[in-house]
Parts: sequence; structure tokens; C-alpha cells
Amino acid sequence: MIKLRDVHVDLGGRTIVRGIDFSVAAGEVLALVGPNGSGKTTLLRSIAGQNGLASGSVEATAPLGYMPQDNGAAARLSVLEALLIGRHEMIGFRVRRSDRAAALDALSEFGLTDLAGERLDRLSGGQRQLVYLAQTMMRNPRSLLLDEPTSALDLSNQLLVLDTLRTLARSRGLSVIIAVHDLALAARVADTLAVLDRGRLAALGTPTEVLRPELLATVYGVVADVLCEPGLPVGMRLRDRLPNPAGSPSHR
Amino acid sequence: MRALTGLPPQAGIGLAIALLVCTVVVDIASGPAGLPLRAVLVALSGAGEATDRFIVVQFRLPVALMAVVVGACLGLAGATMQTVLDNPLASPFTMGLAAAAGVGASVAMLFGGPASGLFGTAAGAAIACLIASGLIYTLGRARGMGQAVMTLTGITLMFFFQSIQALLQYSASQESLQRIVHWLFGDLQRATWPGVAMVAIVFLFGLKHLMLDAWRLTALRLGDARAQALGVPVASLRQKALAVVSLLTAAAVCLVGTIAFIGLVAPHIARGVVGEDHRLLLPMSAICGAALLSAGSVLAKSIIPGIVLPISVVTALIGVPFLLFLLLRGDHSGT
Repeated sequence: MIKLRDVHVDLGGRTIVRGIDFSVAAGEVLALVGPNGSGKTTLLRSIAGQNGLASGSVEATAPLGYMPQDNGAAARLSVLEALLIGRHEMIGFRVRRSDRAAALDALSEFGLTDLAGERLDRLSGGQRQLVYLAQTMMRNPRSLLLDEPTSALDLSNQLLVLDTLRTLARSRGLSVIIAVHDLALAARVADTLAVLDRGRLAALGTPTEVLRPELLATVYGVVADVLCEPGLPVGMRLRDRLPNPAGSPSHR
Repeated sequence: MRALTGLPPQAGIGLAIALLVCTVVVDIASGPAGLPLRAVLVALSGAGEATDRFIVVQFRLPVALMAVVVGACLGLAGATMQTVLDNPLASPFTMGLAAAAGVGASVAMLFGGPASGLFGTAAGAAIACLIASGLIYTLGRARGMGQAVMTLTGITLMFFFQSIQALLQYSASQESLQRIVHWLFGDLQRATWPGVAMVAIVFLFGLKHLMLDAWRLTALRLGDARAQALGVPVASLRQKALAVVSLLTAAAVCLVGTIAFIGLVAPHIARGVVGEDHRLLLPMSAICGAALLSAGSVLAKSIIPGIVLPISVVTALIGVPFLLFLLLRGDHSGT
């Protein structure tokens, strides 16, 4: 369970996140969406305990796994070594067979078994992102925070990752928050969408409830049709950009 | 774990240890006295002529072992600095720590009075190193400081401490000046058994503390954001590691003077063989540093027969081409 109550976050003398309230139950996936600069990363960092709160409270079931947006330096490590670092708090100097098995399991969950012996600094950006995702899972998290986990991935891998996360959330009872830009992907993976706009919660609900043409116009400044067909995830057909959208930098 | 260079890491470590043993044996067996190998071995076993035993046990053995422990300290300190400062050009010498230790030791020699013996000089060097590390850490936290700026900061600190050193020498008496200049040359020949023991203790202390943080230091190589996300206390880890580096540098420098480039070169060789898993990289850097300085000690006795050159001259001859190679190859990623 992850529970946020009236969370405010200040950075550099400015209030970046204001009065956020929501909770994510065990087994639930919440997608955090919103335009650039709306406070998604700041909020995730605050839940992860890396930014202090100005006020409000955050509760998250431990252990907590957090994957930052940064793809990290390309260290001269094998993929298996990179995964074992994810368990550094639990493993001793000598790696046990069980730790190695856990690393291989995490790799197989994201289709990376063949990369186990490869060097991290020789992988593509997308492969590295998958490795870091598997590394985050090595902590056996009960609460999982992922900042743009699919930004460097191709379409097929985006679906693989999001479907895997959804399955893991259900099977292991994880509470998952994913910050993403792609609304169609967010609608596909999430039980709940939380839309941030200039640090405030603009909407919270199921993808069908939240993704409305009015919200897209107000928050993103775009004219779009929302496609809701039975048995299919919510989709969008973008028509135009509003001349002076509410969410554009000129309004901030 | 899969080998990163074609050579399995364990084989690489084994090879480095074998090389180290060879260089130490040659180091003990060579010297201006021209003792035959047989006489050296007999002296080591405690038999033979008293003069030979004195030369081998009281002179050559401490020098050879001092090269090992000082090289190990510098290799370990260099690897740690390159990781915590995320800078492949970082080393106790290039970041000004060795120069700071020189100033600290000189101050102890000039003003220490009765405290200017072995431990007084070491304490002076350690305090100055800690101050320099604090400066590097504080400046490194400044916003937007990249690798190039940090390297320039280190060079600036080195010049700063060198100018203080010049000021101290300018105001020193003839006797003190001679002592300081001799010390600054970097010379293994002044090694003594108590000195070897002191550096060995500091090395073991530093190795133990850094190895306890080996996983966290490896995580740091993935960037601060990811290391922090994995639960690594990045700021306190940096402070602790730099404090240990200061002690290692001070212990190495206070007894044999400033020895350049070992702390820079050894970690790069080690990284090429075992990768960046710090459980292997830290000890391997120490072994490489020890082997390099031991080889340097042999070279110092061999270049001009009958004369032992200051070790700092020899290490510079090895280190300068390597530093130029690093700068010119255009890959400053630390890998």
C-alpha cells in the first residue's frame, strides 16, 4: 500500500507539488501522467524519500523499489553484476547461489536471460533500461516507483515491460506507481490514472473516467477524440494543438 | 562471473600476484652491494655472513616491502578516488593530496620539535590530506562541476600546496631545508621496519573499511541517482571513502615522499582485468600498485649500475606516457 496525504514539496524555494492525495492498494498499478514540468519526477522522488516533504505524509509498504529516470553511467560491469548490486543490502561479500538465481529470475522476467554475461557499458540504451528495471526488482519490493521506465524502449519492449509489471503487481501484491508520458500506454497498464498539472492533481480515476477530451484540452492543450471500444484499451486520436494551451510553458 | 577482458578475473589476480612476487624477489636480490643471489637467499634464511645479513634484512628487505605497501596504498587510494569523484584522472597525486601531505609533513618537520619523528610527520601529512580531501569534496559538490573542472581543481590545489611548500622551504633553516628536499624526492631507501609496519597497518585498515563498502562503491559507478535509489547513502559514502583515501595517502607519502602516477595507473590496469566490481577492483588495484612500485624500485637500481635513483623519477617515467595515452585516446569515461 502507498498512501499520500496532502503532500506538498518545495524545491529551491518554489512549491513544485501541492496537496496531492491518493492511495495505491496492493496489486494496483497507478500511472502518473501530466505535461513536462508538472511535478511527476519530484513527486516520485518524494515518495522514495529522496526529497523532503514541505507538509503532508507518505506511507509506503517496505521494501520500496525506485527506478529513477536517469539511465545511469555505463559502468564496466557484467549484467549479472549490475543486478546483484540491486541486492547490496542483503548479500555479503560472497555471492550466494540463491542471489545468483534471483538475478537470473529477474533477467528472465524481462526477457534478458541471454544478456547475463554481457557488459553493461556495451548495451543499447533500451537494453540498459530493461536491466535497471530488473535490478530494481532484485530488492523484492512491495512498493514500486518507476520514473519513465519505457522511455528508451521500442514498442514491443514497452508492451512487454508494462504487461510484465501488471502481472507482477497482481501476482506479488505490489503497489506500483509508474510515471509515463504516453497516455495510451498509461491507459493500457494502469488501474488508476493520476493526472498532474502544475503540481496539482487535476484528475484521478480509471482511464475511462479520466481520459476525456476536456481534460486533454485543459491539461495538455490538445484537441483529441478519446476512443473507448469494448474489450480494447482506451485510445486517442489527436486532431490539433490549441493555440494558447493552459498547460503550455507560457502559462506557467 | 564472466571475464570482461578474455582473461578470467581470478586468473588476472593470480597473474598479478605472481608478478608481484617476482618483482619483490628481484628487488631483494638486486642492489649496489652486488651480492650474489645465493648469498641473499642464505642471508634471508638467517645464516651466512653478518654483513650480508645486515644488508639483506636491515636494508633490502624493508625497502622491498616498503615498495609493496606504499604501492598498495597508492593503488587502493587511486581506485577509490576515481570512483567517488567519478573521474578517471583522479589520484592522490593529480588531485593535490600528495602535495598536501608534503606540506603537512614539512610543517611537522619544521615546527614539530620533538613531535617531528616518524609519527609526527605522519600525523602532519594525514591532517593536511584530510583538509585537501575536504576541499575536493566541497568543491566537487558545487553545481555543474564536471570531470574536466574537477581535474583542473585538483591541479589548482596541487599548485596551491606546492607554493606553500616553496614558502616553507624559503623560510626554513639550511638543515631543515636539506631534510625537506631530500624527503620530497621520493625515496624508498629510507625505509625502516617500524615504517613498513606503520604503512602496512594503515593499508590493512583502509582495505578493510573500503571492502566493507565494496558493493556500495560499485553502485556509485552507476551514477548518483541510481545508487541513491538503491539505498546507497551517497554523501556519507563519499566522505568516508575520501577520509580513508587521505589516511592511505598520508601513510604512503609521509615515509617515502611524493611518488607520482602509481595511484593513477594501477587502477586503470586493474579495471582492464577485473572490471568495476569493487570486491575485485580494490584489491587488484592494490596488487597492481604494489607490483608497479616494486618494479620501479628494481628499475631505480638498474638504470645506472651502482646508483639508486629516486623512485619518484622512475614512476614519472612510467606514468607520464600512460597519462598522455589516457588523455589522447579520447575516452574519459573511467572504463
